[in-house]
Amino acid sequence: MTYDCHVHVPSSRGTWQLPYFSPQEYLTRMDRLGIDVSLMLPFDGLYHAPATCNDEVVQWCRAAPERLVPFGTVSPRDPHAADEVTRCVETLGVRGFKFHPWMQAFHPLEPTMDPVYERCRTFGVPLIFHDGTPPLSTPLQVAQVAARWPGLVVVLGHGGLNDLYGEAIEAARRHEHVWICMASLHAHAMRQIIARAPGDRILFGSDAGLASSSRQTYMDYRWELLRDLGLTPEVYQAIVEENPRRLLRDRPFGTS
Amino acid sequence: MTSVVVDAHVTLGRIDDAEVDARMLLDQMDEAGVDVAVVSPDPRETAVAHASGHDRLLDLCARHPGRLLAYATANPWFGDEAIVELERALAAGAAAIKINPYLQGFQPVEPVIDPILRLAAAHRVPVYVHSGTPVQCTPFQIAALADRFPGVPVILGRGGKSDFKADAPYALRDTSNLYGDTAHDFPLTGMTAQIEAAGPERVVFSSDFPYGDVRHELRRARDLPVTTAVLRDVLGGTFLRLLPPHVRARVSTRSTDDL
Repeated sequence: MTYDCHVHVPSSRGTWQLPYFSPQEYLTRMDRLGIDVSLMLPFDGLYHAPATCNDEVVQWCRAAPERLVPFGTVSPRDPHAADEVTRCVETLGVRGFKFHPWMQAFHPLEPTMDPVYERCRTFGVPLIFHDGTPPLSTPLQVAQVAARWPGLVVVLGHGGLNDLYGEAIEAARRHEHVWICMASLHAHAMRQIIARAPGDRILFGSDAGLASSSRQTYMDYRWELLRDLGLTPEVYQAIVEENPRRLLRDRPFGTS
Repeated sequence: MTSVVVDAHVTLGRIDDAEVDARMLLDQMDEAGVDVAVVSPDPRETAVAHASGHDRLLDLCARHPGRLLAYATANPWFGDEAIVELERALAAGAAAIKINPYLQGFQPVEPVIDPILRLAAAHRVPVYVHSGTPVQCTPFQIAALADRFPGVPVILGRGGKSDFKADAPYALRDTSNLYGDTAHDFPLTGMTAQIEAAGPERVVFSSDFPYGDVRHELRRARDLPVTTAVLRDVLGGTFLRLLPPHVRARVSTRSTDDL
């Protein structure tokens, strides 16, 4: 099994002027690249009404519920945000949440997020954060969420990006529930993360869904780069299958 | 038709905990079809050990004639010593100047860097500058530097990647001596945006090896939806035109119509 742990459900509102593509189109591309499962993160929900967008993400993933795993998001300053977490998990079958502090305009440690983090910890669902970008998304800043909410799994969604990958490695080494998803990184950063970060907490994601073409060639480039890194079969398998399964706590999905 | 594929920026030496040597680079260049690469000193040599870095790279260039060219760099806080060392490196064959505000401890808007830009103008060599997410400097900061020295071609290294790449097209559009860079970008998105903003003759290909993989970076650049003539410029023609004639003469063009 091969998991892509960072894919965005395409915008149906023309956000960023990006084209929409159907789940069938995306599944065809997954098949061609040998990807079995994708964690589908929100995109419209980072800008627009999150509850409505969460419904749309789940609906999109219903095209192949055994292969498309929905993640939700909430509005950080909505006083009922924790209730939306509950609805997402219990009613919609969402398996985790995505947060993008600079797009959603909040500091990762703002008290307004406390009920959200508490509820996510109760449900045992992981949080994937955008990271690698000051002033609201540096790796050590995001890692503080895991430090202050013991047991809550926090994924650095971009491993620090091209300029802060060293900080992402440090964050994962310092905090046992901080994971790294290697999305949008250059080859050297990926090699450094694999060599220096805890190997059982490294994931790979293509960040597909944000390309300017519905053909999503971006996704091809990213997977080709990972497969050309010359990893041992054991390391590769840990990154694309074993670690993602543990991130999702080996629970079956596609049953909701 | 003659053309040459030039990788406008790579680094050899010690990077993080990895020792990156010329053979690793040349193997990727050969596999990808890159004729010439312009090599930067490694981070330590960029920050403080300029002379030994220049000597090392110029020796490598001599051992691989026609395949490798060298950047010269100097920390502007060394003042006159920086200028003397840059003069020495250029006289010994360095092809262009690189500055790295993060490693060298300045912001591009600060006048401490001006003497090095004046030197570049006097020698008619381009200046490569890393851009990116702060702590790297941003595209608009580099555009402001280029604007102060309109006679110096300034290369917007890495095009602001990752999260400042959206700045790059605007910076390029407004600054006629600023050049885009394909490194770490994708043909249908960032590369195309840079070309549309700067025009077809103000974007250069670089792999940023070993941060980027030469084979993958070149494959993506070759996928640019442009004419063969534009692609030829991006892959080498434009950068070669920025070099002084005596340096350009050291690069052998080859006959190839299948870019």
